[in-house]
Amino acid sequence: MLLSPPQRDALGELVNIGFGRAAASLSTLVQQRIKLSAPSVSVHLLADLPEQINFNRPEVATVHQIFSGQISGDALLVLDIDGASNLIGLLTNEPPRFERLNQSDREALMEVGNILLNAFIGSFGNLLNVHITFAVPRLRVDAITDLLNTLAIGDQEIRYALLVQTKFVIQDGQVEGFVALIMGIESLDKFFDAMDKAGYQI
Amino acid sequence: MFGFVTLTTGHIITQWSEYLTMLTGLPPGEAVGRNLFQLFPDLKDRGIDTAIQHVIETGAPLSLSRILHRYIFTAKDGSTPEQSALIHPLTQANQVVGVILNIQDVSDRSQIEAELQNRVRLLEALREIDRLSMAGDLSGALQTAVDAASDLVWGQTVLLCLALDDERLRFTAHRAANPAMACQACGLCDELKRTKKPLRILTPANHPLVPAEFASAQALLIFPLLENDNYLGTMILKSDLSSHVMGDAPEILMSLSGAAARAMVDSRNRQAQQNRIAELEIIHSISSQLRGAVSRQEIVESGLKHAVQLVKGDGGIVLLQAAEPDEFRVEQAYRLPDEVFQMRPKVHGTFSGQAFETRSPVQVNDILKQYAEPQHIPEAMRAFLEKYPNWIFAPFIADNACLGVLGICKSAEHQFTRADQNLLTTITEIVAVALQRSIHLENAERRANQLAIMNDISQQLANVIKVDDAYSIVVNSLVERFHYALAAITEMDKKTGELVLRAVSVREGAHLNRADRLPGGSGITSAVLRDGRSQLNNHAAQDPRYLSISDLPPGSELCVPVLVDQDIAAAISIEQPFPNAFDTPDQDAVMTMAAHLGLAMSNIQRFERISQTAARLTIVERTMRQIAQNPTPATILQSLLKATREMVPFRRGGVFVIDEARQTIRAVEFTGVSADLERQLKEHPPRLSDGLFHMVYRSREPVEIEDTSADPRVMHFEGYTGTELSCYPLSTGERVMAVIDFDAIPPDDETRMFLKTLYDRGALALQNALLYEEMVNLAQQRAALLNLAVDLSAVSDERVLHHKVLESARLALDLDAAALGLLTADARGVQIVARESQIPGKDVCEVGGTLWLDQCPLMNQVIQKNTAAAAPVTQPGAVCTSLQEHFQKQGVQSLLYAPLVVNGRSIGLLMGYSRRNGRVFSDMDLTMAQGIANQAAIALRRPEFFDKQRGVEGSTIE
Repeated sequence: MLLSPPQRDALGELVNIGFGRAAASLSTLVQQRIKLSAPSVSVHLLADLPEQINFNRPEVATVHQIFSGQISGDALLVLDIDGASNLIGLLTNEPPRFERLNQSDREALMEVGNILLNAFIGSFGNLLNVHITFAVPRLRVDAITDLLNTLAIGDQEIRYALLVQTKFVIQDGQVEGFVALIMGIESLDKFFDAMDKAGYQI
Repeated sequence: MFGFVTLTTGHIITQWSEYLTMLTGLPPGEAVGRNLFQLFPDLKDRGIDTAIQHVIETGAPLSLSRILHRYIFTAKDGSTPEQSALIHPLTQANQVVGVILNIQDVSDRSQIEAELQNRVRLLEALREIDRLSMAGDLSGALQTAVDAASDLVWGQTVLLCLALDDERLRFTAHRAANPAMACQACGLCDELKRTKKPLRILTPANHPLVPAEFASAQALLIFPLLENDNYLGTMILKSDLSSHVMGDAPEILMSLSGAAARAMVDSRNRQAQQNRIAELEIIHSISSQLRGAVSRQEIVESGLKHAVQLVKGDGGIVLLQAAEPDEFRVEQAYRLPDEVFQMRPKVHGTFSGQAFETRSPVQVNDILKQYAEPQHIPEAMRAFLEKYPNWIFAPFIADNACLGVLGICKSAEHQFTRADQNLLTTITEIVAVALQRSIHLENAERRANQLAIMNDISQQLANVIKVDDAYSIVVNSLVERFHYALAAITEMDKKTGELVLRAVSVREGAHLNRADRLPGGSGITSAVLRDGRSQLNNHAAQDPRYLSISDLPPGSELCVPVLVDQDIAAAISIEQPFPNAFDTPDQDAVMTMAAHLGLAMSNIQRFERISQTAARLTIVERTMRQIAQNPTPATILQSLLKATREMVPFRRGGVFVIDEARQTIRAVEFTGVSADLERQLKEHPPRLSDGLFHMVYRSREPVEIEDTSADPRVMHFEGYTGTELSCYPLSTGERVMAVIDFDAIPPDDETRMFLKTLYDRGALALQNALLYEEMVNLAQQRAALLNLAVDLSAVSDERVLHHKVLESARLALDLDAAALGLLTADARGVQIVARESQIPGKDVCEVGGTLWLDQCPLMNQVIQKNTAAAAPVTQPGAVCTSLQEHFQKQGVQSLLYAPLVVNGRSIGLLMGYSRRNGRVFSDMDLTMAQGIANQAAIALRRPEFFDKQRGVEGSTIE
């Protein structure tokens, strides 16, 4: 889906505000200075998402949190496995192990994703003045296509994904991943309406 | 273990679970209603308040992980059991009215995760060790093993001590630079090397095997690195706590030490494989190079260089057998001092010689100490050997022959291995094959040159018509063109068995020291001439049969037979003054030369036979022409004797004419005989009735006698009869006209055939000549007698009558003197009444003298028998001794008496004397003499007839 330049600018501004808040929360929580940046923002059909999330390995670690309210959908923090290990290593000041994620690793990853997504989407709610509630986050290690398939099951509505390329910068290291907000066309319309009402000229 | 606490949005505790009470020691009564952060202010320090506030503000649940927060609440004893938490909002009418903080004690899970993580790290370490090992980084693999061991056993000190082939190394954990250090053997490693079992020492300070460097440790855990029960090294865990050597530590060390051992084995196998590949490449390289190499120099140089490279040597040498049997010559050296080329190592008693003689590699360490005479080694070479004392020698063997030895050296620190020995054996085999091929090529080239020379010599031999010339060409060519030191051609004298040196040539500066004839059976040549098989002796000095014919030192001798039409005609010998000079090409060359010489000799002999045949034909033709031109018996016999001598070069010989009627032999012609003997033989020729002449006469076949002394048929005449004798008949087919004998035997059947032809034709000519002579004589006799009768009929004077009779007799019978004698009245003697003599001095028959019949038996015989007779003066019984002496003084050789017969009674004699040497009066002479005597008798009695006739006429008239 092509965004008009004003839409892209407005979304970019919104995302940066949300990422700023998320970075602040994350830094406070893990007692480390964490910077989050969003080099690009785009909107795609859900079916096209695997083409956009092109990691070296098909298996990815995702923190999945369902949000509901006036705007509903699925929020995802998507990292490849090496990126996830690297991120944990950076946060714990330990060398990355690049191995299968154990339970503690998953917990840590889920905490990071939980804060990031809560802060990010929560900031949307505040900025757009819509009430959003969150479900308990879940972490999955799966192929991206399998994950997206589960999201599409039983839903005939055309779904879009707001895809934000995400870069964690912690100390001297950085990890790249994606944040995706998957919404139906109705929620997406509401999302843009809310942006419009909130004064974001799109 | 789970617990929870509920808070209001103002952080006031509304519920406090039992777990938290147990954990913190704070009962619910003291917790509920209190502000959480006032009770536990450290929560704020760790950002927990932010998380709670975040949930209160956003209504979104939030999880707090163990990894990022480690714990939430501190235990009452101050410990911090690992915890994770989940904060849920408590809502009422979509408003957050509080939160619930769920706490989970994850200590057990954390420990399990740590253990699993350790297991994973161990597996990773093992995988990394395998990877580095596969990558050929043995040092990295071993370092990884000790690093992983150290990491997995609480960061304790871990050492890895390795016992490699030629050094001991030690790896220590987490030494990034120069990880491996030299290591000294200690009691621990020795113990593990012996027992090959792990060792756990809990009191190192008191343990006798523990070296000082480990004595301060609290505990030691030691594992051996094994490969199929072979000790490779030791992994040592030096721990500050005894507990560190318990639990998983043994398993971890066992795994890592096993992985390290595998890495070492793999590395060694891989290194061996790489070495093998490198070796194969070198072998392939040298094989390829040598395949195209043709010169011996190139092969030896390349082979030596590659061999040194192959076994990682420091230098090398190639020794080939020198001309002297017990010496090597240095053919090639690599990285050795130039002085090595001055050396002439002995074959016997040296390590190189041992390899040469046993045809097996020989390895020696510290060669100078084991060298019998090191003082003979050049100084620079000695210094080199001190620096590089370890040597290995391998022989060059091809076609079951040892061509030389390859020697490679190493420094004292490095020794040759069994693998080096095998490699050298392989490379020497390759080089040997190339060398052999090179030698074959050189031989082929030499053979080609020899063939070219041989072709030239063959052409020369083809133009030679004398054997001596052929011999000269061969021996001179062998010395001058084939560069042999000596060449000789020897024949065997079949009669004496002696060796006859027919031709010899020696190189310039050498001299012969033997005569032309050598004792039979001596030398190698005798064996060749006897057996007809070549003899090659490359160590002539050691052969008792060797016979030196020159001042050259005994070295090598090659002798091959020269066959002419399957017969051993001669032997060619060549010599060189050093051993091992000859090989198969030399033998082939000389044998080819012998074959060419044999063919040339065969042609020469054939040519000589043809020439000889032609010459004999010429002799026969010339002789027959001479006979035809002058067909007198004497000429015929002289010509035959001369021709015989030309065909069979005898010393003495003669011709004897056979009087078949009288069964007597008359010696006619001699050659090589003294005058006295000739006269004697003419006067007393052999009798036809016995002896050899009888056999020839009867059988009409020639007789040849090789040893006359042992043959009873031979009558020996001093000065005439030799050791050999041939007696040939001159036969017309009907009768044997004469016999020729001579003191030699015709050399071959062809000569015999020519002699027979000559004699057959000569016999016919002789027969014709004799017949013709007889006829002429008869005619002359008749004419002479008729003339005499006419002359005498007209003579009335008695003296004239006597003169005419005697003159006729002397002329007709070729007499030197003639006389007429009348029987005395008492019939006891004969009184000479007339004589005609050419003999000077006092005649034996003076007119008026009387010859008494008792003094002259022959005369008496004639008177008594009324038959003419003749005899040599010396014939016993012919005349008395005094008369014989008298005749001999006068030079009379032969006597002839013919009776004057009247009315059947002898009234006197006609006497004839000849001084011609060997004169024998023939039958025809006797017949002629008798005819003259009859005419004389008639003439002498004619007056009496007249008287009687007148008396008869008177009586008739009366």
